[in-house]
Amino acid sequence: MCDNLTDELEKRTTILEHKVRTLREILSVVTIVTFTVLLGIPIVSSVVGVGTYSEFFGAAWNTTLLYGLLAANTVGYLWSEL
Amino acid sequence: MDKKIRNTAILVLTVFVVVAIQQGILYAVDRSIGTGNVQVIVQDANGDEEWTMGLIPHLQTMARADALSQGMKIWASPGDYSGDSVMGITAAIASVMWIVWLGVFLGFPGNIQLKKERILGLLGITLLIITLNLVFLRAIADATTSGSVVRNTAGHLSLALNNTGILMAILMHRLGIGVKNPDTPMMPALGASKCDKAYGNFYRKFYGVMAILVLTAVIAIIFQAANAAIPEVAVDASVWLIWGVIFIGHFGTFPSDWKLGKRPKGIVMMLVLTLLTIAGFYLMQVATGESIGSGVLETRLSNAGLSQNAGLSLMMSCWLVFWTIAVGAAGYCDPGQCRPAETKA
Repeated sequence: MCDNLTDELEKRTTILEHKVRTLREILSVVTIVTFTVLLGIPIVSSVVGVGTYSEFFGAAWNTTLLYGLLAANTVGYLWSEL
Repeated sequence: MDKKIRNTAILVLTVFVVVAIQQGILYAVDRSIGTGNVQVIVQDANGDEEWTMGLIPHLQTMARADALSQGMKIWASPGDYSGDSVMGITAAIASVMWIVWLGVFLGFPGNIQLKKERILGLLGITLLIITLNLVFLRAIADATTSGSVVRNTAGHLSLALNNTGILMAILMHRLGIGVKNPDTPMMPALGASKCDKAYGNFYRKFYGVMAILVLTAVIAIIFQAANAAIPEVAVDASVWLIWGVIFIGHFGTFPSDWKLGKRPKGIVMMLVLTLLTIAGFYLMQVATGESIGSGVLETRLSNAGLSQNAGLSLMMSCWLVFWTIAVGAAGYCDPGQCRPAETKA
């Protein structure tokens, strides 16, 4: 399909592919951090004594990290090209 | 012996040595506080707490009864650093972090690539771990009215340090530190091959993730109902969910993928090694007279008002995560020859 590309075009396509890849990775990290924060808010607030059911959550920062790991692994799995 | 398996054996042994050193240091800090004592944050003449740069507390050791009567803010009690009553669990999380750092990130021992970049990456991650944890300890310190600051923030300090270590390693790796092939994410890609690529369908993976999340949540509920888990359901369930995602990342999305190639052997090895590790920690608990706890059949837990098996669920899930990664590094996630219909990638 790409046989008739000139060298110049091929070079530009490579640069574009590279940029898209970088952007995609940044976006995935933003997704992970967003999910971590969203999952972390109820956990942190319940531990400092604001929320209900705080007895079912563990230590604030550690539980947030665990859900961060869940988000990172899930996004990593779904976002891969496997 | 297969070179990959030998390398993984070296890696796992190295990880255990490093973990023993790390947990040993934290355990020594715990013991240095002394039974019946606590570490408190020093107060100045006006009764304000003393912090360097607002982040590093000035600490002092004193008897618990004195600290309570003087209204000092307790920073840590013995056991808050290493978590010696559930050493099996804190050591599991530490092992996961070190296998990710040494094995996956650095490629130790057989495949060390991009040394300079990755070592710099690890230094950056270390800096992030220290800063982030200090910030959160400070934030929780201000909200702490009862109990110790370290326990309210992290449960046990070693858990927070190692969890930050794993998460930051994954995020830094995704942002391109020491990455050779940007298409391969760090954790779940270890057993990847062209065969899995043939299944490259987002919806298939999405349904797989949803199914495994439900399944692992059911496992967590069963452990809760059997009274073999800590009362903090959010913590207990999260590790099972994480293991579920890591498992399908290594062995394939659906049970039909788990049967391919070396995978059934890998799954059996993962289960057997997990059970052996738990048995090993139980023996260590018996041998040390419970000064190192495994979380299983432990009188210290029942004395604290929990079930004596309260650590079992986390022991299972944390060590399953570790052994899934180790078995993946040893090549037991290889689906083998592709069937004709799968080679369309």
